Amino acid sequence: MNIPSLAQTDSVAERPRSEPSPPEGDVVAITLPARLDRVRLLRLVAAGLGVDADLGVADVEDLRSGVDELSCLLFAAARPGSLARLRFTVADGVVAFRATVERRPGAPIEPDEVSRLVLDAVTDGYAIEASAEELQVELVRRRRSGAPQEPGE
Amino acid sequence: MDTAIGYGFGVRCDTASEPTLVSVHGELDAHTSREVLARVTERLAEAEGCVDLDLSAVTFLDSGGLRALALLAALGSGRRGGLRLVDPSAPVRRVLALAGQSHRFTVAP
Repeated sequence: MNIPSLAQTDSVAERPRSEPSPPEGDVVAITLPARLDRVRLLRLVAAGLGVDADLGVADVEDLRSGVDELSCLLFAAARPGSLARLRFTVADGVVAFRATVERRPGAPIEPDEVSRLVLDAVTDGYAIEASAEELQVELVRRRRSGAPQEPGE
Repeated sequence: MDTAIGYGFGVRCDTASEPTLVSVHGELDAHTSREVLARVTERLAEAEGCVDLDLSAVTFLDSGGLRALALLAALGSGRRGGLRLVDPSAPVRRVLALAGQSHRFTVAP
């Protein structure tokens, strides 16, 4: 059986992107095994920090999706048994994420069409950098939706 | 028959129902989608007719999970009845729309 290509997509509106530019703010750094089963933990951290940054509900969902997509891409290309170094920067209305791993020799790191569409939609800019030994991804997500709800609203 | 692999994720198969019903609950991502792929492939091979995949309790979907769903839809299209997505949750519908992949799936009413 042929594995289906996901290249054919519905018509999707394009959203302008900017390059990530990390804000000044509180830094949360994490080191964990570069394995797909650890990505869920990063989604939890991203959601918590998104709330801390006063992002709206939809913004936090987008941040979770963006961190997930880039982390899965990165971890799939990481040297087996290696650690990932991750860093969130949190300020009012913005969260930046950067992650670095040792590269599995020759491992490709290129998002497919679907990943690209998701990343374009949920981030305000992302970047993927690769050298022979190391891979790095980063993204920025800013507040787009309305002001966060006050408790009790 | 239930399978749980932690973090509130699980797959439940009801082979007594007609059509066969597989329900997924929790976060469907690049890691957990392997279990869904295995369980639904099994059901597609054994079921006489359609297989319904209930996604109403899926709380997160990423492109890894979406790839698994697309692969299962392609597997199902080669057999009688095929695979239908039942009541996809808001997080599932959101990612299908973001990725422009809604056309790929049959969604049960």
